[in-house]
Amino acid sequence: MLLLVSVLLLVLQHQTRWLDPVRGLLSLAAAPVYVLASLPAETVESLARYFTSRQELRSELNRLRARNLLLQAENLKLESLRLEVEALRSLHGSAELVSDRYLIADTVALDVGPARHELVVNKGGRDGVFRGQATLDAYGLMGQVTEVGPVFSRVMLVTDEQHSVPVQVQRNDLHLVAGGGEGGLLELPRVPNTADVRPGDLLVSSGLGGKFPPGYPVATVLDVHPDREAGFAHITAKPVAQLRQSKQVMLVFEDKRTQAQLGQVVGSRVLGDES
Amino acid sequence: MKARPVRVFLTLLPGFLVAFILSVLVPPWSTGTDWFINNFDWRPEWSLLVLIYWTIMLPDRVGVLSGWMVGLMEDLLHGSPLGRHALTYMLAAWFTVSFHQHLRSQALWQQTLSVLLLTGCSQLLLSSLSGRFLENLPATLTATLVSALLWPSVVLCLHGFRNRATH
Repeated sequence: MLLLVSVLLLVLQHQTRWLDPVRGLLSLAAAPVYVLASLPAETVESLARYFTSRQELRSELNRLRARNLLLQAENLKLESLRLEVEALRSLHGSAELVSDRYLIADTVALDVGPARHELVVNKGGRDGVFRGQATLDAYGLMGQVTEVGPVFSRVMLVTDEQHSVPVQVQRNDLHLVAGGGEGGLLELPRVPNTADVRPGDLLVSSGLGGKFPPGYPVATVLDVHPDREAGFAHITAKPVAQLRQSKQVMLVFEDKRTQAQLGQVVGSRVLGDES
Repeated sequence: MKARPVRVFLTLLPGFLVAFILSVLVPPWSTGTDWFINNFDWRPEWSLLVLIYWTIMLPDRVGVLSGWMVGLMEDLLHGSPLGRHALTYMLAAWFTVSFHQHLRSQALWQQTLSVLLLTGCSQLLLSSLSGRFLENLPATLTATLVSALLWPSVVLCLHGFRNRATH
């Protein structure tokens, strides 16, 4: 009976990943719902645009142009800095710095509640989205893709209980792990009392474990609560990304060098030393 | 003369479609404080309410299998493992079919209480299937209440379709 089928399905999904392709295929059925759900918001936006005066549009355009120019200028500096760091790194035989590509997507649905902090975005497998892909907004890291459909994908936010991201304290490169905790904040468990972490510190992604690209801001430390007995401190941090407000997000594609290439760089350096 | 199955399906479809869309829309309370969102569950189970309604009205057409499929759709929409909502909705449909005559003859306020019972059990089952049984009691309570309190409005909206589905 259906009861048995349901139980079987649940058990299978809990223990294995066999049903993932089935899920991916079935999520196509959910796509029309997402399309229709995003229609009202889109219609309102289009109408609002239609009624915006030319004057308003012109001033927004000027503002955006100016901002773009500033960002490009900063980018130029960034580029020369990057080249400098790469030169320094190659002297040490370290791997080349990676530069990332971004895919912009719109938030179609938001699922927040006590047990879930997830988004649905309008890019999917056919755009190259993959499971575990990091997602950002303009302010910082938002989360990672947990489910990929052909057209839509699901993103789990950093504040979800099941989520954790390896971070570094920007000030002193201390490595920690930040997980989703209570109240929409991040929690860093099991940090030794002696660790040098202060409220106001910025936590950036460390890239350890290879899941998240390094260097993206994740959260600012709110509170460091030492537990004298246990010897550990309980730290809470507030995510920098506008998790529930951002209507547009970016999916990150890292440009990774292969292991073979890395090996080559180190090998040639060793040979060069011998001369 | 009884309505043909295709006609019944087409009449019921908009109700379910709207329910699915509503369960996916960016919730208005998402701009609320974190305490508000993380300690209470304000999301109504629209599809469950629509399912219960049509199971009461057309128990020979809408029943356990439909409940299972609607639940499966909810699983897809909410990223939960396939079968969680399916199982829960299927059981809710089964209860509704078993007592449909009784439910149908009840006054609206009595029906709301029965629906409260149904949504309460469904929430408990859902939370136990996700391993969070009674972890967040206020959330379970709000989820149950919000869904049940919306029952009258669901009835009002769908009553108009009733005739088209039964003739």
